[in-house]
Amino acid sequence: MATRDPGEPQGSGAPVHPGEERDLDRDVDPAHPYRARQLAPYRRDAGLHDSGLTGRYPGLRGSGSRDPRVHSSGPGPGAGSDREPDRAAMLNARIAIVATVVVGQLWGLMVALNAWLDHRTGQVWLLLGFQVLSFAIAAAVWLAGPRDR
Amino acid sequence: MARKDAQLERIRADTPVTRRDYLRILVTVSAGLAAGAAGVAIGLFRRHGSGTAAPAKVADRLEPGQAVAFRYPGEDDRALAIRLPDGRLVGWSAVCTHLACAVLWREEDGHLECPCHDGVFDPATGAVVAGPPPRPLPAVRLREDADGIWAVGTG
Repeated sequence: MATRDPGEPQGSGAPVHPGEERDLDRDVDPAHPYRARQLAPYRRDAGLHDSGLTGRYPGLRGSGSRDPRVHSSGPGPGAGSDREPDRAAMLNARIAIVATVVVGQLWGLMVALNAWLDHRTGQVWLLLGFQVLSFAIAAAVWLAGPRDR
Repeated sequence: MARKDAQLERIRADTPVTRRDYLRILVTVSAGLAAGAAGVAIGLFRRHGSGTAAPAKVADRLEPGQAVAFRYPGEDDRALAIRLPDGRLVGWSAVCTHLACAVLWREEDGHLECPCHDGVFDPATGAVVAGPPPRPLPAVRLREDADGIWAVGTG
């Protein structure tokens, strides 16, 4: 059974030490319970309270410790895995596309500089068009995901 | 309160750059590269051996095999006027196209040489004969009349 130090202010919580018996409600401030709940997932031992793992295995931390996306232990949503894998894949794909565009732009800038130093002005303007088009593609890919900007 | 602040500070310190941040950074870099290309196209960056200036006298006369160094069109634009052994008069920028060292006329060898990295140029055409320079030397147009030899333009 969890115990509370009578002299300790309610809601302040106690330091986490291996093997220490812990109060599951130590972060809950009755006046502002939602604040405590906001912080609870960020604790180093987040997700381990329910299972009692820290009591049994003090050295064990849940996967994704300190990861703000992790808010529960075990398998299932919120336990260290993406909750929207399709959305994550789209974001990865957009990053890959824009990174490829940027690499192409670096190459184009090198060619443009060489052309300019070689007095091939017409080619420089063509390459400027290429750069602007590349940026337009990158911006469009970025704007395509309003939730992931 | 202080404990909560410390906790929040730790969370902020641990927060990694997210993939959304990477995407935003990449788009910003893309915009910067496009802006850089626009700067190149409008001639924001200076290029040795090009530009315009009033005609400048470089020598009264040159004998075959002789050369004279001068600055044209700007003060930073070193140039060479050379009377080739066959009597032709040629002018080239004397700024190496590799790393902008001074190019020298080697009369005994009959070529232009950059001593920094052993770049060699053909004095008749300005073309690279040997070494690391990536481009030929820019030309300086010369005019010869009764008053002497004049630099009148570039390219």
